[in-house]
Amino acid sequence: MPIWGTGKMLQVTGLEVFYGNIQALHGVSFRVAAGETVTIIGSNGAGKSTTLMAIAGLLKPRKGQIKYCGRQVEKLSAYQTVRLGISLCPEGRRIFASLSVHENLTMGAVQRRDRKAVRADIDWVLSLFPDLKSRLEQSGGTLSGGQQQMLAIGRALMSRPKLLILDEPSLGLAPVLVNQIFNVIAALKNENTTVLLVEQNARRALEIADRGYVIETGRITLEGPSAALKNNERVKNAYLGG
Amino acid sequence: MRPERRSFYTLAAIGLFFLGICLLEMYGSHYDRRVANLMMIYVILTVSLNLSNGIMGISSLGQIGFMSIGAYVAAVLTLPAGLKERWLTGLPHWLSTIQAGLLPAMVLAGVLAAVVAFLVGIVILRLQGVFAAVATLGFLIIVKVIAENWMSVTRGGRGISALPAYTNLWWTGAAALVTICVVLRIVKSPHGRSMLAVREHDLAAQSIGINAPRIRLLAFVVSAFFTGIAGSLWANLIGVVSPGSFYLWLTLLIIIMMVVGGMGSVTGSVISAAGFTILLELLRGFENRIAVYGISYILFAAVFMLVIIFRPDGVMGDREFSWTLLQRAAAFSRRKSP
Amino acid sequence: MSPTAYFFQQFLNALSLGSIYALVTIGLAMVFSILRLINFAHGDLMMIGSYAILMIWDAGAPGWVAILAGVAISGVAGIIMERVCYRPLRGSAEMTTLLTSFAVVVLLENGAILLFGPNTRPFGILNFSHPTFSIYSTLISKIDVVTVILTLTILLLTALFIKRTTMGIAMRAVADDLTASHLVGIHLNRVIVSAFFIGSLFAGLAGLLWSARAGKIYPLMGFIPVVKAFVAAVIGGFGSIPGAVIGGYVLGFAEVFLIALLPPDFQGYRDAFVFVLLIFILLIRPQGILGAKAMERRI
Repeated sequence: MPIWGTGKMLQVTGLEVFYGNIQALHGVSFRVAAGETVTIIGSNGAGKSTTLMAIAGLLKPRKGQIKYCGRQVEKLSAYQTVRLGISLCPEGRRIFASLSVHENLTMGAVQRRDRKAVRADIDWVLSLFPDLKSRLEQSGGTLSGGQQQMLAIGRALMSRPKLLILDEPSLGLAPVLVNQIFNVIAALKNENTTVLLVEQNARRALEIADRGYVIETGRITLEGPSAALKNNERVKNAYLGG
Repeated sequence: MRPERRSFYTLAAIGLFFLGICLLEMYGSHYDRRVANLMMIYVILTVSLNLSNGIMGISSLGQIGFMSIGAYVAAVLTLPAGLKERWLTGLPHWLSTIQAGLLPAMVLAGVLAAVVAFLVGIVILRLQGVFAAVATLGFLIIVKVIAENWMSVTRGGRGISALPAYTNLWWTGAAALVTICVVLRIVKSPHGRSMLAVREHDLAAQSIGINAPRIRLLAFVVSAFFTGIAGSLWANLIGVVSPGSFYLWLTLLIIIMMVVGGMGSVTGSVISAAGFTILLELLRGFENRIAVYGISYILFAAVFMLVIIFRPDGVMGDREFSWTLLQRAAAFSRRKSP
Repeated sequence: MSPTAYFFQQFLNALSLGSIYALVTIGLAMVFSILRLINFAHGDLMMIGSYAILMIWDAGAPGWVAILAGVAISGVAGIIMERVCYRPLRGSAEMTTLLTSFAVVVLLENGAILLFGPNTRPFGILNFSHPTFSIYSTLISKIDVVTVILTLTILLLTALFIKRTTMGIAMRAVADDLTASHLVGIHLNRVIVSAFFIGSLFAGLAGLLWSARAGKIYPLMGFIPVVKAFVAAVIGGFGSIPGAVIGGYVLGFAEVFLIALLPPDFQGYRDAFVFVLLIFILLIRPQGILGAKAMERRI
């Protein structure tokens, strides 16, 4: 199943990130193999989003390595990591509010020059999220929360990422919409997209992921196959509601 | 260091300061005295700008407008009566027949600048950040346009010349000292702490009961008062006031002096203003020698950009010079070089 | 002259002045919407463009070559300005960059005084500016017609650019959400440089039209137009491109009709009235009439 023989698409080693003098990550290490779906679970402020932002190139780590497809990427800027095939769908959606849905999707493919394929991919994204189809010319800010989340994921997919990173995709959504989002993630997984998923909804995340990591106060404290984590007493108590 | 010791040093420094003025007035050349006077005026301008922009955090680009007002007030008051009747036909009769001395001119210049600042401040201080900056710049332009067009009172673009040279170092030195003391006093008072609180976080300060608009207006008006006085001293030092004197270059110059000295540091402003005055004079001399003018402007602007890029807090940051600081620095250097 | 003819003449005059303001304001607004930078030195690009045109023309080049080259020089000057003066300050507070731009103004204007001398020079290029023709006894100066047509064409092209091209959409995206634009892979520096380049080209063009109107140029010519462009930007809602255009025309009309209405003794105060207007508008709508986004520290 893995596309790259070794199976190591992303390898994070000893990551340390600071905000000013405050250390947010104390040596985070984990890996994601090609074709895998991996989840990182943890409570608020544990360092999940910080880890993701460092991978995407929004934050520069003070120490540690991020290896992606055999390349060191921790010093790269966001537009460079996107070029290499990393796409982060950020927490809080952050869609472009004054741009139309169509323009938002175009911006997701801003670095691509293959216009025909981009047009085909817009159709593909719209087939994943049929709700958006009738709203292509509507501006992003007028969409509902669920539609905005779909647009954000769709926009992240428009760069044709090898590694899709989703930060809290189900946050604040109604259960029906959460299902819809997870169905799409499952569909992507079936298409062999590598997905790194950060979720507060640990139950759903562990259901869909192959493996998982638990992050606590800037450190990875547990790791293992999803099934094992689901049955782990500590995980059960802390994240799955007993 | 014990408090009595500190105030002794301060008094001694003030004594030395006036001794220096005395010596300069007695033995200094005309040029020396002129530079020293300018230095004092720049100190007043920079310290008062620091009160409104540095300590209070108002983004004002209009400070020199108040200087312009002060200078014109002084010019109108101190111009010999005969010239007034010929040039300034718009003045009321009682005004055109008198010639005031420097002290009343200074006081009125300061008061009028403060009154204008009060009226302008009520309106402009409701704006924040860059909008306040551009609105105050608009104020500066308005003052200049009025000075250029109100022929019967300002004599328009020709300016008012032949002003009596009343200004001497006793006046400028004393005015600078008073400005520094008053501003330092305000900074150390509860008002000063409120100003810092409002600067750091407007809403938080208001939530603990500080009347932010009033404290901003206070800083703005006091600052304008001293700036107006500086304008009157300038008018009677240079002998000419014209609309173009009080415009962009002077605005930038005092901003440079303030930023390099450290926004928020009164003593930093004093040191910086003094240093830049000397630098400016040296550059003027150089320009005269090579007969190429305007290099100082370009150099100052470039220096300012470098400072802002590499040392945005200025030399002093918002620390103040104090005898204790000096003592500590001395102790530090002794330890370093045995 | 009949009242109708007088009105029409003033109308065209206002349209022409408003066009120039619109051109200057677009550049100011474009850069502001992306960087939250108020670039006072934007007006000096008008000056640079005009001097460049005059120099090249004086050297014997045909008028159209001088104009194209001069406008291009102004565009390049804008790129250099961004690289040298503003890029090192990326991430600084708004006031820091604003004060820097103020220093750039002093730097450029005194540099120009050093190079070209402080005096005004006649600006004779576009010599057809003064000849006028008359329709139904209305005197129309050709420069006004040229200004209006040229500007309207450019505005149309700008609208297409902003609406249709990837770079145009990217500019709006960056103005919307900086972090998200990073994440989708927008190369921020390219967007910023494009905004500076386009804005500076427009400033160069506005400089040409402004100078042709006035028939003279001088080193400090750019400052008042740029502060007025700020007024126009505020009228239209700061940072919005359509707002910049609307604001430019509103200001042009306000100014021309102010002159027409003011008694001759007060015409010198025109600029004072414009800035009173600015302060007034800032007070009733601090965020601009069309409502720009909250001002905050960015990038």
